[in-house]
Amino acid sequence: MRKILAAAATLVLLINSQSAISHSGAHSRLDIISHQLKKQPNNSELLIERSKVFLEQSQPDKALADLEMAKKLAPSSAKLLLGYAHYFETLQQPSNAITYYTQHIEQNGFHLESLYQRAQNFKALKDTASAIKDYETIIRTLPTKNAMRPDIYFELSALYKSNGNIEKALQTLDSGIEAFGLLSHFQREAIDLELIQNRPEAALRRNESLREMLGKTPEWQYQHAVLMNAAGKKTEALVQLERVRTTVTEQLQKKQRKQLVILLDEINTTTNQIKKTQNF
Amino acid sequence: MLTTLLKPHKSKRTRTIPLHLVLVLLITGFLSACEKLPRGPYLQNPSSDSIVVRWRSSDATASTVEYGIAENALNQTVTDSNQTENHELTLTGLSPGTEYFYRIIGKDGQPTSTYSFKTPLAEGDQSAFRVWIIGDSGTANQDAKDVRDAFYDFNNGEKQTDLWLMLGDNAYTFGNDAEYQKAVFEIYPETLATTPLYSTIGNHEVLSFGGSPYFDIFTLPTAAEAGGIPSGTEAYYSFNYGNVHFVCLDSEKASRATNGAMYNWLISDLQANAQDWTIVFFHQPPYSKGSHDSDSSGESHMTQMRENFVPVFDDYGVDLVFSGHSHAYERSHLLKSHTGKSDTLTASMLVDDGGGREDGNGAYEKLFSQTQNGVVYTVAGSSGKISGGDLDHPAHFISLRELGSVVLDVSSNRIDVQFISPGNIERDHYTVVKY
Repeated sequence: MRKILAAAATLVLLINSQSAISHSGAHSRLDIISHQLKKQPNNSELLIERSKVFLEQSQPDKALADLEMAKKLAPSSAKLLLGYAHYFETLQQPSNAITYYTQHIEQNGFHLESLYQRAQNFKALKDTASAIKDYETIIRTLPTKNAMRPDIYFELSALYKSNGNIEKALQTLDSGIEAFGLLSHFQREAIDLELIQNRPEAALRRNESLREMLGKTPEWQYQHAVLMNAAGKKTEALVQLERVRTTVTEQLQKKQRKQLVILLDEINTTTNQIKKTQNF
Repeated sequence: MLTTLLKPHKSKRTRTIPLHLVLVLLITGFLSACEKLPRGPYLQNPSSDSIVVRWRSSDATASTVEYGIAENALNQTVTDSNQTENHELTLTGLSPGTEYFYRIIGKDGQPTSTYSFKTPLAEGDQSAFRVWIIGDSGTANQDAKDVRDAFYDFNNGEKQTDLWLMLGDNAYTFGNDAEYQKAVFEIYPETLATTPLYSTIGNHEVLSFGGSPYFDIFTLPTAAEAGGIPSGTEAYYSFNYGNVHFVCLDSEKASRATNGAMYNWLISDLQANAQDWTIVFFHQPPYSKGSHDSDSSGESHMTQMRENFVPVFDDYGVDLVFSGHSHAYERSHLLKSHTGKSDTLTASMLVDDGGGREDGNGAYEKLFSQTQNGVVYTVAGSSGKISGGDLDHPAHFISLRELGSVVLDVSSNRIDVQFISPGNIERDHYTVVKY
């Protein structure tokens, strides 16, 4: 019974110290952890926590010293691996960060943070293929409801694009739209990809799908005109440009936005370009 | 409850029950009553014609809510027969800006108390409404209660208001379910039952399985349920309330890059925004010299929010930005184009270098006919604790190491903002007016 009470008391102390640590700002957080470490010098988790604060304060030497000490105390700690990974990541040493994230994944199996962060470090090394692999693992494994999922699709698509695999990039965006419903930022990215693939008609169809959501915005209307022109529908494009000019002029009278002023210039330029090609 | 418990015992025999047994019965009765609804009810994802009611029961039961426009006429019912301890029902067919009453029917058919709430104003409606904003409130201690009570006093003793925003770090240390129980559900039960609540995720919520409990607890818009553009995620989203467009960003887990999903969604969302006012909230502030220093190279989230998102706020006419993270109150001048560290602030970035006070140099005035007409940034991270930092960021008009919360009163073309400290002491106020 006495042992149970003692264990409970230690737990309370730990929870309280962790709680106090996390509530405070950087300076006082450091003070609190250092104070706790005086009481519990062999607490590796506190050392790892303090290393994060040192990194926030741009004191990497002290951060490393704490990690080294924690390593002596708990060499197989999963948190220690993440601590080292975070340390090297902060110091912009992606190869070293990847080593520790990999060890953490090998030790703990699927771990969203490790996989995601490892992918970011692969990106920093321009190792797109490895980053794609990690993203694909995340998509396969992450629960459907997870709030990060839409971003994972979006970022994976960008990786495929940077790797030159435009069709796969489009497929990934479409999978995202299938999973989460019509998302304008996904569809707008897909429009750019369709244009890269020289498919203006497909781009126009995708933009049409956003009409209900964004059709009243001058940005959408202008994009529609540009896509009509790209699809060879020059007369319709000019009519559309007139529409958007009216919209922008009306909106500028009510509510100024820097983008609207820029857009008006773009409308004029595009109109002139189309007229020139049509010999108006 | 005690009356109910004692009623069957009003006999001679009852009077012979030993005192300790009566106490046991009283305690048992009390506990069993509490167990009826260990959590909630709380109101989520409101739109002008619907609202989500959530609660937790001790045992798995079906879910039923009775509701109506009068306390004695709860003539509409919504039910889900699935047995669960975590209940979530959507009340539909509501009218905007209308008071409704509701109660939950428990396992044995016993109703809870009857609560009321007001549906959001219809999109574009310029009627007045109040917003209560708390940040880093999750200490579950007396400080959090003092901040809460100060708001209740300020709000004429009312625990209900129109809209409520939490700025993240709502439950320390890890934002897990048990901590949420103590820091949110046991601290603000009456307000939760009567006021629709939105939240943004903080760095502490992320510590628990990447924020998994946070996303389980909250029901937030993903599909523009109350206006805005669908984001597909509860991590960042937008909604309209009256003539204000609110945008919640995720400064923690989402990519903060300009080619990221959140950034691109935000552009679409702000392009489609036609409301008079735009208010943005997220956890990690662009400008702070509180317990977190936005100049520090270790504070990459704060830096990225400033460098990448502040230009969008400027270009798309955002009016007010609220964050927490630093455990202090810091409120800026009317600012534009300040994307660097604190020592890069120049006079030209101050659209108005005054305090925005009508009883001082005058309210901040924003003209619809001008672009980049300024944004006021507020760090309101002292609703549960105060701590460190020099509090000397030059972008801020005022910096206070004081507990408190923010109250926004929106009324057509003006917004009055006040920072209320324990004891119902107003420590800052300013007004923004639009022409």
